[in-house]
Amino acid sequence: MKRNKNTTSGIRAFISVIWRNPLSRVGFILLVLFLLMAILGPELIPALKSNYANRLKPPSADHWLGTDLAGKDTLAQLVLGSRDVLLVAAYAGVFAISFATIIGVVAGLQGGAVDNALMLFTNVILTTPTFPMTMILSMVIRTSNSLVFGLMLSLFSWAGLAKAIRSQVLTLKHREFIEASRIMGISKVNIILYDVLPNIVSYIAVNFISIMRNAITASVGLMVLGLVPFQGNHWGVMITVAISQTGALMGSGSMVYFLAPVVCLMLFQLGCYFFATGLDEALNPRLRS
Amino acid sequence: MSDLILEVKNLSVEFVMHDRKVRACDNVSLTIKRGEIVGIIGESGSGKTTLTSGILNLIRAPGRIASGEVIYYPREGGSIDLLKLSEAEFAKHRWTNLTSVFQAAQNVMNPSLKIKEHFVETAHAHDPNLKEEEILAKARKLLSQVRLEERVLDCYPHQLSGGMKQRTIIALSLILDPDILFLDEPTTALDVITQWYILDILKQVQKEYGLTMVFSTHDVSIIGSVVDRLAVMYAGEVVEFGPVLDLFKRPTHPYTAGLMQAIPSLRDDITQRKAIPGHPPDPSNLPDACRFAARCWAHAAGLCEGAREQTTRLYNSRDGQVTRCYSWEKVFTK
Amino acid sequence: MSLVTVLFAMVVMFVVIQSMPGNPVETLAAEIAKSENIELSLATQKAISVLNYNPNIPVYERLANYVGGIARGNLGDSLIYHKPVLSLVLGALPWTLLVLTISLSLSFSVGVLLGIFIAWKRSRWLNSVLTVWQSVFGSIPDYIVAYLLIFLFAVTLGWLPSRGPYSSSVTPGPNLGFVLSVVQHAILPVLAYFLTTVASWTIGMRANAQTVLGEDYVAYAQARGLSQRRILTSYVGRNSILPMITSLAIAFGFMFGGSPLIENLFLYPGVGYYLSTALSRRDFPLMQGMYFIMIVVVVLSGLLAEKVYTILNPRLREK
Repeated sequence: MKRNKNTTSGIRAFISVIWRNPLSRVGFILLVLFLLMAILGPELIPALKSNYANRLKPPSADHWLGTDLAGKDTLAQLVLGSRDVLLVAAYAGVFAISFATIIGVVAGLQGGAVDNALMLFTNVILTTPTFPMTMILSMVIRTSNSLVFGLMLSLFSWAGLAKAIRSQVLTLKHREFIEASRIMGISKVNIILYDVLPNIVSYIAVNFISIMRNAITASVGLMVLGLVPFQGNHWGVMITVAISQTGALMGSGSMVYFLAPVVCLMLFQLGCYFFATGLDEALNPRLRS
Repeated sequence: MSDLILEVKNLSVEFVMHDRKVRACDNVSLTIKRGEIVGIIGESGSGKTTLTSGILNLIRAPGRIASGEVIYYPREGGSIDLLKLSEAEFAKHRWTNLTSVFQAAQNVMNPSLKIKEHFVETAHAHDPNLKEEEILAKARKLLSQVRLEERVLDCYPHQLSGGMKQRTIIALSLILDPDILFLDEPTTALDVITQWYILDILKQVQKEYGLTMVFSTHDVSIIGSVVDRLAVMYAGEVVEFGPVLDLFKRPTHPYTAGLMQAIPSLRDDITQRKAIPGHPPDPSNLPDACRFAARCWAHAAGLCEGAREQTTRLYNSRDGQVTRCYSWEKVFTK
Repeated sequence: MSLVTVLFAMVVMFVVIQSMPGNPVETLAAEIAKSENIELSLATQKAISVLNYNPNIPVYERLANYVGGIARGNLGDSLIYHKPVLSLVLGALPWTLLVLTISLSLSFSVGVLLGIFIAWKRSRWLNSVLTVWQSVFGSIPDYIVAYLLIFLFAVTLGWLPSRGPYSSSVTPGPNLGFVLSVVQHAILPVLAYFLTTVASWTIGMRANAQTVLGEDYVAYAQARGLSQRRILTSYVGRNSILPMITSLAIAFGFMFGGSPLIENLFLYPGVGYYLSTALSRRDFPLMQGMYFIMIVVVVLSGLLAEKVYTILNPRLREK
């Protein structure tokens, strides 16, 4: 009961800190809008029907953002696509965070040979050019759904965070309260859960957002190169179709169809960027005061 | 009476922070005579560093010089109000006439330049026609006077110890034959033995070049053996100014008296030594009273009412000695 | 460390080829047999040597063969270009390096100068411009910026070429026409990299310069009467650029990694272009060749940056 109360007041404090910073307030609003769009949009919009009589129409009262080359409404596609964009990015973020946290915390707490081996591996991943590696992986991993796609994107994007977490753990390790927990005979798992993780959560949250941003850039990039046969609605698919099939770049009337997902992509990235500026302050007990 | 070299008149320096004005240095007047060593003493935050920076016009935003004059009398005669000069004109006097050795001298040299480059660039900033060889020859001579080897010239700052850096800076400050040397806490970061070593060097250098020195510190124990006259600062004001021995023996301000009480000595009982109780006032929220009143035993004993109006000027207490305490006669005859 | 990275890349590549759907040798042999009109058994032999991959021997032996072959510089022949991969790699690398080094040095130097300037002047409006710039260009992927650039400068305005490394009307060689054409064709790719990276250099440099400006040695340099110019160059500049040097290698690696998209878009025959072509057409020898050169160059650039940093930093030099 008491715990519950603490959680709600914690969330309220969190939102109020985010709200106080004008940049992160804008970011927060943008992200909430996109979230609503991704969660509710696909429930509210009926399945799109092709209407070849109505291909590549400019914006009109019926179709606010015009139509695509199958005559489907662009706005509806944007809304439908948001779910997969966010899902892929979120999966990538969750996987990458998990890898990074496990490797960073284990390396930091364990030390010695385990640490050396894990850090060697991490450094190798870190020096490997990520995007080409993901391109090559896309040859063998069938990216049929968002989960697998997200997993693939996360495989090479956790290394920087893992290193940072390890060094955070190393500095925390010698603080009194952790030493005390150890002397009191509290198990490692407990130390990690109750002492270490709360201290690095703000760090992880900020990185979650930046990993998500990179995952979105990479996922659209892979689609544009035609390397992932992704089924479903995704802004990347729209951009790819716009470029490769409608000749958007050649100045045909389909510029809106190309720009709509690009602008959404930009707004989402912008929201993430703004939100992250306030996030660190909101979650970091040292900065909050 | 020897001639004047520098006259500070009613100098005030303000810092504007969060819409509040803080006077770190309030209406300070000092006269400095050619060839003497003047000490400025005070707790940290009393305004010594601000005063020195103010005289050298090195106050950085958000600080600014609110009012006052700093008149310099060069060797050749005449007088110059330094604060009326433009930045470029002032730069001509820096290091040629007025030089300084700063607080935290550990970090005052460029980590990516060799020591000799510091000497050369300083000299070239004032006379681009000087030959590098001449500058370095002079630098070698100065280094030997501060008891450093020549090879220091080829070192980077991080390769020198704290004491060596401090001596290097003293040598660097003398490269252009200055008139006045400002030393702001020159020995604070150093261990006691190095402190005395540096003070010894300073005294010797002063004698040899007939330099004028302004020496500010919070350390009462070292200042007595170094300076000729001493100014005591408290909460941005000079509370007492006069010959150092007189101040030690017959202080005429309760704060000075308290400071002298606090010096430890080998000859007497340490338990007799007591620090002044309390803290200096918050500079952004000064009381409308004598600034020392809250800590003053005379005020506490009812000897003095500590009125603000009467502490806005200095009083002649003894020959060549001034105090801000208007009740000094009452207080010190007791 | 760098060796481990390269080895790791090889192993990943090996695993990728291992786990390709279907047997790559058979697929390739069939293709060779058809295109060169030879017997299947002969074609199989050829496919094995081209791929440096023999399915009939144990896995570890295969791996050893594979790594050994690459170490000897045997990268095989490209399946689509029918040329040795090594010569394709050597032909592609200069184009990528050209565009990347120009972009990187441009954005680095502009960012560094601008960063110092903003820190020094504390200009409020420049700071806002910088924030807006970073918000916009930090939020659009560089390849999208490249699309928009093509649309604006090549398609709509027709000022600049958007395809290929140089115009077909000039003869490659040391003549003015060729050089001009190369420069003209490099402008848009360089611009795409430049626009998306310059703000982060500026922001990084501004932060460093602000730290250095607060250092005692800057105040003391002023007290010594040094000119502002001197303070800006050998005090603020020198000491705040130093930490940026290691970031150069990271940025280079990142830009190199992004080259498949940009080069594909501009049909610019660099490493990234061939890599994406190889991938979409399942040309494994070409793919691995281009990928390896990418890894090697990125690893080398890291070593180079470290070396430069050691040379420029007096604290590290003596060791």
